[in-house]
Amino acid sequence: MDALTPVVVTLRPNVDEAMAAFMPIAMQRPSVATYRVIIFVVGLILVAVGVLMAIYERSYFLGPLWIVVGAFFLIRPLFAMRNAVHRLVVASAKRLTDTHEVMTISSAGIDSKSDVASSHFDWAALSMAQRMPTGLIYQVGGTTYYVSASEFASKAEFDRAVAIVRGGIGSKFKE
Amino acid sequence: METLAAVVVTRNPDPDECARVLTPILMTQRGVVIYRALCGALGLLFVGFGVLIMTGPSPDFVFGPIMVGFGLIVGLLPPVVIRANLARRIIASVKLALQNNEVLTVSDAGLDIATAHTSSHIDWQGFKSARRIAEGLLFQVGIRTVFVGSREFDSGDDFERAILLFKNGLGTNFLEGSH
Repeated sequence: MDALTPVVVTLRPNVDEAMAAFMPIAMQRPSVATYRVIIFVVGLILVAVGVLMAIYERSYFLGPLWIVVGAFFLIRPLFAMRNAVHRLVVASAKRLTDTHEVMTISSAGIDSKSDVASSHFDWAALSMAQRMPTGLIYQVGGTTYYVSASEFASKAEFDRAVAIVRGGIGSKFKE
Repeated sequence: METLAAVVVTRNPDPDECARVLTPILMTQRGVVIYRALCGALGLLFVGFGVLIMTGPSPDFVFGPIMVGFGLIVGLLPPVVIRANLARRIIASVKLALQNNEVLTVSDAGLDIATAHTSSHIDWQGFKSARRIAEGLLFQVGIRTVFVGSREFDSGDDFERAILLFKNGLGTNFLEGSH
């Protein structure tokens, strides 16, 4: 098949794969990173206070209580972020599947069409794209999109789509 | 039903107005509400412990106030931080929309959104809901909540016609009144 022939993909998102792709991006956002550091420091202080109370004051109720609360602060942000991203990914996956969204990657850019909407992105609209082990990720404006390699008809189709995107955005493509 | 002429809006959103309108709405999202309730409960627990420590049989006026202070921080600070973060994100996305010279076209067929390098069309069936509020028009597409201020329309007549087109397109999913 000609390398410039458009690649057509019927989107059937895999939530677990999408989570794996989106989580590192979400965790690296400056506000999230700052929030995690602050909560982590608070948790660490609480655990330290709890340990000191248990050892030096022999406070076997308040000491462990501080440790448990501190541990909650150490662990909670990770789960909170995971839950938030998971909710968004599940909602998006359901919408894409329910509306039978089809994506076309061509030399003109990326087109999407569903039962209720359609869109077109010129290559200039993409701020970045990256080939990941499990699929392709790209950003338009402030929104990140992920399409799994397993959603393409074959590995060759996925490779061809990656080549078209790479040709379209040039140096903004990350391997 | 009468056919109405399409309304074209060149977006010129006021970031502060968008933050003022959208922040309270996003603060009522399920995840944020659960998180705020958790922090409130945890903060209350700490304050309670602090008060107990200070009023118990062997009052401790060092750890008691520390616990009360910590409880107040845990209970009150997160909602303030979340609100500020949301407002910052809204303002950033509005500034991006301003850079992109976004143009909206509301017509019988739905909504078209165009920028220099992107275009999209959403049928009325693609909308979850829309609402007329004092400051303008609010609508939900997929997981996105969009606010278009009435001042962004060329005239009051254009705004009223856009509202009518949304009302015709969404039927009972169009709501009137405050958010």
